[in-house]
Amino acid sequence: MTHKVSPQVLVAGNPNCGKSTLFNALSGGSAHVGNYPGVTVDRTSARMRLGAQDFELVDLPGMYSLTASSPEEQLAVNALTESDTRGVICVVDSTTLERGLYLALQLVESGVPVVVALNMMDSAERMGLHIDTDRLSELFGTPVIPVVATKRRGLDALLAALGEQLESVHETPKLRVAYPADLEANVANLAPVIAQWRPETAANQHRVFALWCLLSLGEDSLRGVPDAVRHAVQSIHEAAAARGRNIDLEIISSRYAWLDEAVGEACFMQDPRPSWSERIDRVLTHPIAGLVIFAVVMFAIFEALFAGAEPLIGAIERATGFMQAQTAAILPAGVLQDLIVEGIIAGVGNVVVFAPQILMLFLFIGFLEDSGYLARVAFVIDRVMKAVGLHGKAFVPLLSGFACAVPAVMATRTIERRRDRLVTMLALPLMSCSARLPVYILVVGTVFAGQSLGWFSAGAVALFSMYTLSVLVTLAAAAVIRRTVLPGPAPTFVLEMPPYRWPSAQILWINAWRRLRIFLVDAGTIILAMTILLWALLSFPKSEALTEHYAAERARVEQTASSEMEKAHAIQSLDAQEAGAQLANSLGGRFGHAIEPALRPIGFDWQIGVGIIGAFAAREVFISTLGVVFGIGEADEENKPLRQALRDARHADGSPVMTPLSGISLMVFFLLACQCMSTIAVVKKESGSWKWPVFLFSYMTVLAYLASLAVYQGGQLLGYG
Amino acid sequence: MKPSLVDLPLGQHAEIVSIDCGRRLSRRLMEMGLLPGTRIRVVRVAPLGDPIEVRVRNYSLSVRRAEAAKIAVNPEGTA
Repeated sequence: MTHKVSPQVLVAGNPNCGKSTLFNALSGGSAHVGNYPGVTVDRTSARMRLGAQDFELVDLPGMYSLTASSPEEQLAVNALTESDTRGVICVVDSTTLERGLYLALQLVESGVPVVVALNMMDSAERMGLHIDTDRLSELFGTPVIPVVATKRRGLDALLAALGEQLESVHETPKLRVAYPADLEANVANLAPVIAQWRPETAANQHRVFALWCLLSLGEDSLRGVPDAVRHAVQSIHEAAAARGRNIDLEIISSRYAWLDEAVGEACFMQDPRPSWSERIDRVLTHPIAGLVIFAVVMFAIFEALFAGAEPLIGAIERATGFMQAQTAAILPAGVLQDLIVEGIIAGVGNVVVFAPQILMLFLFIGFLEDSGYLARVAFVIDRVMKAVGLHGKAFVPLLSGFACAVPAVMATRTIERRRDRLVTMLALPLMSCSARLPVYILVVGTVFAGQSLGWFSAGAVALFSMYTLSVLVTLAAAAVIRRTVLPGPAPTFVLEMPPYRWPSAQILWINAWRRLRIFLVDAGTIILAMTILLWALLSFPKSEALTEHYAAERARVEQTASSEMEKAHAIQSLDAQEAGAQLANSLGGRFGHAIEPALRPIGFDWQIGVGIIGAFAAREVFISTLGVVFGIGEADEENKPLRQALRDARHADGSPVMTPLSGISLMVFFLLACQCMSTIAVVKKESGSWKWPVFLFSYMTVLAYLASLAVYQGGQLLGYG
Repeated sequence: MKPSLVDLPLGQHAEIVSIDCGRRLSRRLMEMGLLPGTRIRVVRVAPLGDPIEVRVRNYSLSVRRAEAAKIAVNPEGTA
């Protein structure tokens, strides 16, 4: 899958070390975002030229070491061993020197040409930390360059050092960690097995790989490791454990011993000063003030997604409507016009309408993440999330689910482990999103108008119950999914609390824009295709007989109407009736009829069934589809004729379709069913396979049906409805 | 029974004795620089009581109590 035309230089570093800032500073923001083959991790890269060398600069995901236990972590190792990798820039946060240099040490050990960029030198100096970069450079046997990525300081020196490294002859690394003799013996035993696995690599590389295997293999899900290597590693571990040795500890502590000595030699701390980050934290994670600030920040995000995005969403919807009207006026009526207006333009509108919320959410999350507060959000709320088997970082995506599941699913990217990410994205579509609200309003206005329960209006109680139910069901679903579908160790919560920093507006914007672009292209294609498919389903086949019947009716009206106004009124009504009749005759309409036996037990009839099918495009489409089904024409949730039509609808036995009980059943169905193809599309995109969106759709639909069944049948048993 | 991280009073410095959080997590913690002999202290407890925040090698890390209980420490000032 990896066909690269030019050599690559990797940018590696710990999370929060300023790696992306440095990458953007070096590449000038001209990055290209793709995907690593087989895993859903963004591959951000940019073309660069250094002297006579053309290469691709690749921003690796943040990591603490090269040790890997999942395919996602394996990426970095794979990238390193790719033959076109010419070198690595290892970005190290100078304020957490040893931890950052641990990664640098591993890289140097691996034999690849490395340039160490000591980032945030200004912060280190403010802390009173003095670093002798020349001495570090000598000890590591590779250039160590002080930089301040945010101020673009030291970039020229960094590029010059990189250029030299790329041209110099590749030697055996000078750096040599003193591992215990027992361990060296294990490595020597393992090396021949590695040599069989990777005969093409040089002999000194076998030793590096043996160390990597000893540390990485076991309880892992790595791909492409031969069984022979696994068995060899396992028996070494077992033999060592029998003698009271711990191989992991031996490797890691030997490296840190080397690092501690090197850092001790090259750095010294002059009267350490307490950082202002520490002082901010005293407020932001304070038992009372911390929770209050937390609530305020979360409410602000919620408000922005809910209310702030509304005018933009409205504008996009109006623009879509305007385009549809204009196109309808230009093109002759017919299937082509319908396809373009109802299929393509509506589909593009369905995609673009998400743009404001996606941009806003990612600007917010970017700000929270880059400022360091997102880690504190996770810290403050983890206790609650832990109870249902979620990670503290799942909170922001879950909360965003109240506004819209699409950006919320995309926001799960902040969660590191794939399993935790999947559980979150499979549960959060149960949060009652803003598109469900119009449906609730229509139902409440239809069946609960003017009624009250004690001091409260019945509608308000119904709405409040829906939102409460959605939170409870979401958390329960997460707990169940975690225990059944995605079993495994509970998410561990080892999270660095980075110092507070003021985020760069430019980087926030670049990242939010990248996310949006990826959504528009990848998920957008699926949404567009589904919109067209759904349009076809609700438009074909066209009945000639109906067309002729209504043409004749119109002709009759033309002749018999006494006034222009009466005529216009009658024709408009006929048009709406024809649309309704054609819809009933379409594949979707017939399907609605066909499933009516299944809908009766939950209190719906075929017309609501057609509405539900139409609502798959987006929940609020339920209302306009019902408008067409009932022959009313354009309708919204406040539409009086639609409410009346719903109230007047009767089952075959003459009983009303919409009762308070069937209304509750309908709201519960909409709350729980995955009536949203955009969610399906974005889960496909974010999970990397069709397996998960299919599972999501199936479990939510079954859950919705069963819950509605319980509500309707249970209610009837209790004598309601 | 060795005291663990959860037994440390806030601000009390201690030395890590051993980490026994299962292979994957122990390895992760060790690679982040938490090794036997490393100085560590608890700086804060989350408002709801869990997780806790520790300070080690000049950075802050939050871990859940369940994991912290498996990190044995030797408080400074005790023999």
